Amino acid sequence: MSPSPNPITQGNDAHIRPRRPKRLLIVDDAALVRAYYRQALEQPGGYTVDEAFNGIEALEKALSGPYDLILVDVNMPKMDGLTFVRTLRTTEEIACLPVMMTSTLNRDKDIAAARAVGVNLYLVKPISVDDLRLFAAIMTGATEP
Amino acid sequence: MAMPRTGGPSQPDAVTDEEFARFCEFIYRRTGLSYGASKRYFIDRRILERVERSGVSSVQSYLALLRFDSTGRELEEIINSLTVNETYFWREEYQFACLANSILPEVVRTKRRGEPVRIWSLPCSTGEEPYSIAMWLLENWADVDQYDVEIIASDIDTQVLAAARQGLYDARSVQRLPKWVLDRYFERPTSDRWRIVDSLRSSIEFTRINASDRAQMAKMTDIDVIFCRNMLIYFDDVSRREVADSMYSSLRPGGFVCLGHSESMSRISPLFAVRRFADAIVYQRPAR
Amino acid sequence: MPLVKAPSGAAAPGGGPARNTPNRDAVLADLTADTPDTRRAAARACRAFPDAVALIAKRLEEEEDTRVVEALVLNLVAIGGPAAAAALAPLLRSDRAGCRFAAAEALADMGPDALPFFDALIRDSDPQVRIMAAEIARGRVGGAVVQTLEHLLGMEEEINVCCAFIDVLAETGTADTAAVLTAVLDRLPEDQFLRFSVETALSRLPTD
Repeated sequence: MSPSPNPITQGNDAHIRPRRPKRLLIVDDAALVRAYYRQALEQPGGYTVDEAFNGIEALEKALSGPYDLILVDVNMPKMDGLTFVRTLRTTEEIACLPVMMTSTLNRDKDIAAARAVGVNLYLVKPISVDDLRLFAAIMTGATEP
Repeated sequence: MAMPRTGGPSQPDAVTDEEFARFCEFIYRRTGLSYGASKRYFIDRRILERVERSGVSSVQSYLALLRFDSTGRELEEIINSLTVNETYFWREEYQFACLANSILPEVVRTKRRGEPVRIWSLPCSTGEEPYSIAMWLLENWADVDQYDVEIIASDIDTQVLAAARQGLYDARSVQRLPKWVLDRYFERPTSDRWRIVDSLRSSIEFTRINASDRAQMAKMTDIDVIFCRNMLIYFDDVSRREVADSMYSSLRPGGFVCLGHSESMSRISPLFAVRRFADAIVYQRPAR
Repeated sequence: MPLVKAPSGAAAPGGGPARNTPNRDAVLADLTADTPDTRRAAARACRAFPDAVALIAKRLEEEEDTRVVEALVLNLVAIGGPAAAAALAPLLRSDRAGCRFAAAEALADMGPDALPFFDALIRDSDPQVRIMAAEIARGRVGGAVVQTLEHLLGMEEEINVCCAFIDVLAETGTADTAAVLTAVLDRLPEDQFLRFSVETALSRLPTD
């Protein structure tokens, strides 16, 4: 763990806590990744968290939402993250949902491909708890400008 | 949360969070059945029942038994227990509501005059599902008189098909049906038996099909809606994908697949689009 | 009554006329047709030609439509054997995410024929290929895949690859896996996700 004080877990920096519980959808086929994101964001981040195993399950859940943010992996079985975001962006009820993509892929062309389908923010794994909380807060509009 | 136990003192009486997570991950990857935290109590009870019945000493040992049982028998037992493997009229009726309220109105929009609506029950077991579909549409679909509706019912098992054709049921099967439906569509040969009236029985096409046989499946064409509930969960990964691929080919463009409660196409096949209607989530062969 | 009985000829399998064997040249030509429906029909039909494995694999490299990819992949799994596995293995490097995972899943479904390819891919110099190869170990390849993952985890330097191996081992590992997991934390620089993965995997492993 980082020895430096963590402003989020200490709770004295209310500006990066959501004002009301925001709902996140975590989409990753790896059970440990989902569990890591959940523990980083659910408590004490204050988010309500749901999980999906791949792009298809994510569409099922997103359509049953509403969600404030979707965190999605790239490599997943049956429907990958890029195909998911492309489908999301053309599905009327959910087209505008903010999407944060997290992946082990770190080449320029991977990031360009993500941008091309409509990903709002791309983070390369592994991701620290602090970064997850910070970017989730920014993406859900939980921070002061 | 703990169940009352009658077994030996070494038997577990609770499922830990980690065991629950591991079990759900295994069941999802193996069967496509998906359960969230809201089903925790239900799932825990099923696991502990199977721990007791299978005679293992811990939940962890039970998970190992599930994973390494090459006969697949324990997996079948737990699936039966999770899905409450029984069939009765108007089971999971929200899907029939979805059929009448949302799916069929969309399907008939592209129908030419005189073109039938084709609905396929696969597997149909002893007939409760295809008869339920028929009765539900006759009672609840406003446009039912304007279209020819063909209901095809298939199963691999010739014995259950024979029973389905006969259409004879006991009190348990019909317990969910309102009285007026019983009066309209059933006869009472004896006080504890109900038989589907001839006109309804003879309007349904029963036919034997092995869903895993690509050639047999390929002969089913131009289907508008397939009801395929609680079958694919018993298949292995490859067989499930093959059946989904065959179903896709049997559907008309724009046609729908309805899976069982807790089942999801997400573990099975990328072929279908997800559609959310007011009553249910269903899967669609893209129209183009 | 608006219910009408479906024509039994159309619904009764085995009752129809025997289908002609598809024309090989026509099927292979249709594999590159403009419309996805035609390509998909051809993809399904070409299963009849087991010698078309290389051609299916080549098509798989270029095919963009999910529905056609699915039919092609299912063919290779159904045809099986080392040639089909060899055709799938290079696709783990595909630039298209869907293709990569479809190939990994197909190899996982293929059984022991995939084992030699797993053994090579899991040691590939590209960490992204090693990550995809770990997916094969979830399947039915059999053999000593768990021990292979444990052995390689003891030497792996990339944190993301370690975490991919650990995710598979959390599902498939035995009581013996625990020591290997603990050793990773001692060997590699501190990382929150790695530590979480190891600790969670340890709590999910069987204890006896």
